[in-house]
Amino acid sequence: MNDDRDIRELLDSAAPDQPGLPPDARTTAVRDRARTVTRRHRLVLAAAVVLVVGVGVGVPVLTSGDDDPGRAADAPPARVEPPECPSTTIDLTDGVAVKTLPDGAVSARACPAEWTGGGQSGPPLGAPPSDDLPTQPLVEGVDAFTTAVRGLPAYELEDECLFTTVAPAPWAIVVSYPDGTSATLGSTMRGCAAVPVESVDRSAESILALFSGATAPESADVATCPAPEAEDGAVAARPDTFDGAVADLGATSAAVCYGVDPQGAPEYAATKGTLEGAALDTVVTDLTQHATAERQLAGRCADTGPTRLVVLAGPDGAITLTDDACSGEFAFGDGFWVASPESEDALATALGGRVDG
Amino acid sequence: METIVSEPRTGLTFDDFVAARSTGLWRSAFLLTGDRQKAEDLLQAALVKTWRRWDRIEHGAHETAEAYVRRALVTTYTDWWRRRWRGEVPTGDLPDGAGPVDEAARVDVRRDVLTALATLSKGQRAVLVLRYFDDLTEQQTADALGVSVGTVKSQASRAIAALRSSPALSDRQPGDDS
Repeated sequence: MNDDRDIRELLDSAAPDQPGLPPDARTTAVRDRARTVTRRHRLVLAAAVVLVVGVGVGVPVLTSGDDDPGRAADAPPARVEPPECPSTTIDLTDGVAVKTLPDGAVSARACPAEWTGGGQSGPPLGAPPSDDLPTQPLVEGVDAFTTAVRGLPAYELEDECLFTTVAPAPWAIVVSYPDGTSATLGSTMRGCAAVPVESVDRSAESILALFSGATAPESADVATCPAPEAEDGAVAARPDTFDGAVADLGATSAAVCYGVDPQGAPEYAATKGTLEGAALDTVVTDLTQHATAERQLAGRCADTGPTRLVVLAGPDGAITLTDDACSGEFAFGDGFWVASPESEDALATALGGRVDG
Repeated sequence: METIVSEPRTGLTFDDFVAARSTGLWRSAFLLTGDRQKAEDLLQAALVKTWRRWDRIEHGAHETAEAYVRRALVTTYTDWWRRRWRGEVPTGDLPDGAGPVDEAARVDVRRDVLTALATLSKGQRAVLVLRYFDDLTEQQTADALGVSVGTVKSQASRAIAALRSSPALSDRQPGDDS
C-alpha cells in the first residue's frame, strides 16, 4: 500500500457491487419505516408532554395535600428540612454504584466529592459542591428526577471520548429518603463517564443535566434550555407553551443552546447561554419584524454546524426556535425566521462564539 | 392514508434519487458497517431521515440531495456508534448468500480489508470511507461529519497509518484479489 490510490482501490474492491435490495423495494421500505418512526415520535412527544406536566403540576399536588390517591402516599412530611450533605467529602476513588433508586426520596442534593485515584487528587471541592451544579437541594419533584434517571438508556462510552481528554471533575448527588437512607450518584467526570444505577450504566452527563433541569426555577417568563433527551443525550426542543403569534409573546428572556451535534460532541450539549439587554432586544425585534409564514431559504442546504435552539419566554409561556442545521433558518410553530447578521452575532456571543467557521 | 411529507413540488423526486444513487450509498454503508444487512439498515435509516426532510432539500439538485443523505448516513452511523447496535432489521427481503457471482473472487480481499477497517475507530473509518471511497474533499468530509478540516486530516492520517500497519493487509496489493 503506497499511496491514496491504493487505499481507494482496496476500498472499492472490498465493497460489493450491488446491494441485495432493488431501489424500488428500498423506497417502499423507507416509506414504511418513515411511518413507523413518525408514530414512534408522536408517542415520545406525548410521553414528554406527560413528563413535563408531571414535573410542573405534580409538585403543587404533592405540597398542597391534594387527595390524589396516587400522590398522597408519596407526599413528604410537611416542612421537613432536606438532609445536609455528609460531613466528609464523598470519596469517588472506588466509584459508586446505586443498587436501587426508588421513588419516595425527600431530597436530592449536590455534595462535595473528591477523587484520589491514580495517585492524583481531583479538584478540591468544598462548598459549593462544584462550579456549575445547583447548590440548592431538589425537594420538589424528586420522584420525577429519580424516575428520569432510571429511564435513561444504557450508556456506552462514546468513541469520540477516545479522542478527547476529559479532566476529572468529581461530582456527587445524594438522594435522601425519609427513613434516613440515601443513594449517591456520582462520578469522577462530567462527560464520557457512566454511573451504574440499578445495574445499568447511565450517562453521567445526562444525570447532571436532569438534575440541573429539575432544580432550575420553573417560571413562565424565564427561558431555559431543555434537558437532554433520555434516548440519546441530544437536546431537543420542548413543546411550546405559548400558542399565539410570536409578536404577542412579549419575550422577556431567552436562552440559547445547541441541539443535536452530528458527532455527539458533549461540549455542544453543555454549551448554552442567555440573551439579555440589547442582545435580547435585537433578536426579539428582528424576529417579530422578519418572521415569515413560508421558508425563505428553502432549497439551500449546507452544513451550518450543530442545531441551535433559541427558547424565548414571556409572561404567558415560551416558544422554541430551532435552526435546521442545513440552511441556518430557524423554524418555530408555523413560522420561520432568518436571523439578521446582528441577531446571529448575538446568538453566537451567547454561545461563546461561532462553531461553524 | 397517513401523509409523512409532501413530495417536492418540482425537480428531483425521492424515488428518482433512490433509484439513481442508492447503490453507491449502500456500498459506502457496507464499508462503514462491514455487513450487508447492517448496511441496508443503515442506508434505510438514513433515507428515512432524508425522506422526512425531503421538502427542505434543494429541489432538482442531485448534489445537494446526495450531500444531505450522505451526512444522514454518517450521522446515523455515529448514532449507532453512540447508542450501540440495536439489532434492527431492515424492512424488505434481503437475499441470502454472498450476492453476485463475481463477488466470489473478491471474498479474500474483502475479508482482509474489513478486518483492517475493523481495527479503526468509527470516526476514522467514516473519514476513510468518505475521503477515499466516496471521493469527497476534506471540506466536504468535514461538513458531512460536522467536524473541522483539521480533524479530518488528522483522522485520515491515523487511519491510513493503521491500515498500512495492519497485518491483514501486510501482503495485500491493490488489484490482488487472490
